[in-house]
Amino acid sequence: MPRMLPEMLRDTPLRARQRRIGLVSAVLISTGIAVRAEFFGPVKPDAMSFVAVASIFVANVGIATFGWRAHDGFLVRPTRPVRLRRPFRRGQQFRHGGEGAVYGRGPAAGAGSAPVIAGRWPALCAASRLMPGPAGRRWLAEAQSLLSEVDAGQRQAAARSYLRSVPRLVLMMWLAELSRHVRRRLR
Amino acid sequence: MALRLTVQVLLVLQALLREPGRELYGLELTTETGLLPGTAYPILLRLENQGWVTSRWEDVDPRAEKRPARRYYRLTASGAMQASAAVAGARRPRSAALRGLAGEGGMA
Repeated sequence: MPRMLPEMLRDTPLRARQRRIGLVSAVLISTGIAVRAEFFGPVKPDAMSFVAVASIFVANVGIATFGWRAHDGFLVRPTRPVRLRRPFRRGQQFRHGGEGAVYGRGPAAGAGSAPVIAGRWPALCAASRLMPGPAGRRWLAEAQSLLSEVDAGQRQAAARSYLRSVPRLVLMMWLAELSRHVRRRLR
Repeated sequence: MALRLTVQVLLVLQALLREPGRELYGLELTTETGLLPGTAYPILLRLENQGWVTSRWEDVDPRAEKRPARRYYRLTASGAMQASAAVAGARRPRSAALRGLAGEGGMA
């Protein structure tokens, strides 16, 4: 029976610790919500509670399946260090993947690699980090590609529209990633 | 999961169906459909996950072109058939309703 369990469910010391942290966080948050509901009335479902629940969900999925770790109060993704051939300068926007790229290539990004790295649109860069790696890089590359070609007058509206779609995309991409991960493990 | 054929999805499909072999990139699609890019992207992603659409990065040197590479989308063979059926299916009730209105003298 244990052989049939996917690897993500097997306990290693690190995962057991991460799961404990996740469980303690979940208990603390649930207690907080219960106490708040007791003293200030029931919590109404609004955008903030959706974001909070989605963040907890993403954090737990990250901890349980992708090996995220708690570091200085933040969840971090284990990354590989990348060596830059020369320092990244402002105004130097576009680079192909490879040794000199800030981001690498990812097969899940679809045909070809996501080619754009930019110092611009920091909000989009931050949002892309909420998405699974290759999918986030592809989204960012595509957004930056479109924003570089759209008329200056429409650029802000386009960027806002990209940012507004982030919560839905994050949920959609993580669910797809999770189901892909589970399918792969069960195979 | 089945694809929900909303008005926005149908607009994207119609734009891709205009010339089924032709590849469209994000900006062209948003211009042709009138959708904002933040609306069009999740739709394209869902269509791609369903196998209706395929995409690729343009193979250009961004420094030479002075712009980043575009991501091109086009309908797959099976996607084109399904999209045509979906668009035709969405048109049918509307034209039937219009005929009904005309019959009642509403389209004089």
